[in-house]
Amino acid sequence: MTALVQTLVNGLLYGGILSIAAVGFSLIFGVMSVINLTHGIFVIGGAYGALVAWSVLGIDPLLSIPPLMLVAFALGWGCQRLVIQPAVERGNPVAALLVTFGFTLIAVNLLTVTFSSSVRSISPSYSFINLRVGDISIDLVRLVAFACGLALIAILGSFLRFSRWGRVIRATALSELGARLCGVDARAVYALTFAVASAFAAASGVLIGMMLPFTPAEEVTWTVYAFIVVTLGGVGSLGGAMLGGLLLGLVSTLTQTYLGAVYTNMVMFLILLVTLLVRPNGILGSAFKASR
Amino acid sequence: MARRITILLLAVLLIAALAILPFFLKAFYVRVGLSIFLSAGFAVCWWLLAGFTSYYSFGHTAFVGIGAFAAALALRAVPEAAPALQLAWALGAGLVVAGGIATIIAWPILRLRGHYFTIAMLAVALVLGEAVAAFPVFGGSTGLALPNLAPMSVRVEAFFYWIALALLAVVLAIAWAISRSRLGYGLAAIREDEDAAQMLGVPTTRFKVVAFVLSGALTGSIGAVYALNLGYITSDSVFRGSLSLEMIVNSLVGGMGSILGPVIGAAVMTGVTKLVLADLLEYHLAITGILIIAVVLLAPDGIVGLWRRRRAREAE
Amino acid sequence: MTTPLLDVTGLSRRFGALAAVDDVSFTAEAGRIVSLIGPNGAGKSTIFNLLTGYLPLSRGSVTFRGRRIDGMNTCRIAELGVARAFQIARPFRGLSVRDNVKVGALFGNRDKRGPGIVDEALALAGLTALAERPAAELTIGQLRKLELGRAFAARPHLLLADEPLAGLVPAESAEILASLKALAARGAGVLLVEHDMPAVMKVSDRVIVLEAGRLIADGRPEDVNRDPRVIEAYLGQEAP
Repeated sequence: MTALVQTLVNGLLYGGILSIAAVGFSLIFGVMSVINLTHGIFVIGGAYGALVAWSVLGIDPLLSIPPLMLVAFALGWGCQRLVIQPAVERGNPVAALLVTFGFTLIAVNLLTVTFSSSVRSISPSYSFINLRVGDISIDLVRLVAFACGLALIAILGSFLRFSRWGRVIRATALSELGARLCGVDARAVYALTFAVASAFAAASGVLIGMMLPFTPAEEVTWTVYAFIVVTLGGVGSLGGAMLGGLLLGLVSTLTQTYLGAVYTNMVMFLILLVTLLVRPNGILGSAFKASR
Repeated sequence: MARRITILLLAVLLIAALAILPFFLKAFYVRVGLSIFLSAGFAVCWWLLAGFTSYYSFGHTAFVGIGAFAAALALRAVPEAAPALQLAWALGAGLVVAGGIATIIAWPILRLRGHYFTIAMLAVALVLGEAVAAFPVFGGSTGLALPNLAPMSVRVEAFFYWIALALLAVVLAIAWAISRSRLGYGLAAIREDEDAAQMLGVPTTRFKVVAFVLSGALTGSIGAVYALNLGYITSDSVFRGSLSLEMIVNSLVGGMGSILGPVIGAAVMTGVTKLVLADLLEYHLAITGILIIAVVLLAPDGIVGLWRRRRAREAE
Repeated sequence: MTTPLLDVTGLSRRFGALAAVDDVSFTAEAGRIVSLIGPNGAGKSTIFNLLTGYLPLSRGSVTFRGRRIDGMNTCRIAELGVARAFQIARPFRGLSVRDNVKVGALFGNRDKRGPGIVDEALALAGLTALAERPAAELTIGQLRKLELGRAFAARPHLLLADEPLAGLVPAESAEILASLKALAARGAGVLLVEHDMPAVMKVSDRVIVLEAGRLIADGRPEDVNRDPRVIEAYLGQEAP
């Protein structure tokens, strides 16, 4: 019984991280209908950014989140404007996807050259503290990361819901043409969406870097996980990303505990496939618009 | 008619010329040729589905992996047979098993369109890759070894060079035949507008399944050769996302609008990687990335598209 | 009496509480042009969608050349010889005009034979001069011709033409009407949905009038023209 509760707790904590690590991907897919393969590189980039801040400048990873989000915002804006928007305007969905792939290759290469391909991790002073509640033990780092993840999702949610630009983003997602007829500059909205999504991807990367070891090549994993989370929960909605992330976290830890670690990824990918075949719009369906 | 015979003659001459090359080239260049034929073969197989129907699979490495493991396991059943028979047996196993699995997944997966089909194929590849790594029959993380089937009198790289060339020729011939057939016109109609195609009486579901199974089966047979050439396979080496991506990138660089697109793309990309970038190995990924972005933004119809545009301009 | 080419009995289709098509019965004969007219929302397009199997029927039956076709899928119905030309042309943009028409010739009606179908359909639709052009480069009028040419190439026993004249200049309309007549003269039935009343009255052998999903008149153009119910329901609105 304790083992099950422990597994569930671990699953939920991990799921929270998966949720925050997928919101950016979800936002871009929902608003621009682009499968953004650069997602994982922004996540991993965030982790490396925190590593530099922590090991070189001695800044606590949590404190490095805001400046890193700014950097990622600027990078995301530039990347969208220079590379992705021209591909989107070609009207071929695969063109945009390939361009994001090309950008990712370049970024992975630069990260590898700069940091080598060896495994890195960030371990601030509090990273080995365990909290005990009855028989259940909780890593402090995971709890902190979980809480930060939820806070970030809440911030993004209120931005989309209450701010002027957030409303413009949602309107563009519903109907690009309609938004343009109302005088919205769709290109600016796309750039903003991409920049916001990149910032949140980088922030999630900092949290991931505090919990798990990482390499440049890990970016693939985080792109694929974001895929699964979004497919499970539905495209373009924060609620969907939350639900998808938590479900995936539970499935992942349950599989690991009761079937064995070798089956974890297989089960996760199988869920992706089955969800696509049975309910291609995710459990909650598309919050923004019908799938194509 | 005369034009068709000219094309056929030229093709035969070209293949003959390529076939005698290994007698004059250093082993390194023969291996480059082999890589080009293998990736061109894969790209054409992928294009059989994507180019005809615009169903972009992001997980075609699934069929490479299936073909490779089917060949490796099938060869264990006939350890004593003559090498030529073993080769045929391995190719057949790759073809049939990949085709069989493609048939099973075709119907459910082809109901999905656009991005959803693309992601679903990625998921298929991921699931199969993980399953092969997890179950001991497939050698787990240690993998499986394949026998060396090259005769003693022939250099190994030349042996596989010829096999890969022959397979590429077969795949191209099939693609060419389809493009002039009723199936080809039906698939093109599906690519342009699936609903309108159905209204005109194109049996869309059946045609898509045929293209998918054909594409999967042929990928599987080349996957068998790929495995034999490696001599040793693991889940990671044959269920590899980058294999799927190479098929896509090669086809796009060459041009989706023509059968020759994937071949030209594979030749250029592999050539650039192995010859030009050999000394820049450290920056190989970044240069590939720049190349992809450049092609998509500057030459969206690929090299063939550039050439056609130029000819059109000269004609005016 | 011979069996009609198309025999529609009690055709009904509901969308929730709305009866888009309500108990409609009519026939169409080989070699004749039958027009379906009625105000927007009368159910004309829904009838086409039902006849081609694009939408399932709620009730009723459709018999084509002595065979029940309700419940068959779109592709099978096309193979039996029902072709449809869309109002908003849906050409295969990446293909040439000739290849578009060739798709029509290779599929659709199963019992056609012989070479030259493509050239014949191109000529019938007035597309011969445009044959090698990419479909993406055509004007609206030319696309409409292509839509018909593709349908002609299927050698249909029955052609469903959905507003083939909408948005065309008179000269183009005349060409399209001429090709529809030529098709009928070869023995095919034509079901025409069209808002251009003078054209309908000139070209049709029979006119069927629909209003709010129900059939309110069915007869020769000159008779329908005088039917008070029709004048009230439809023509009255058109000419105030």
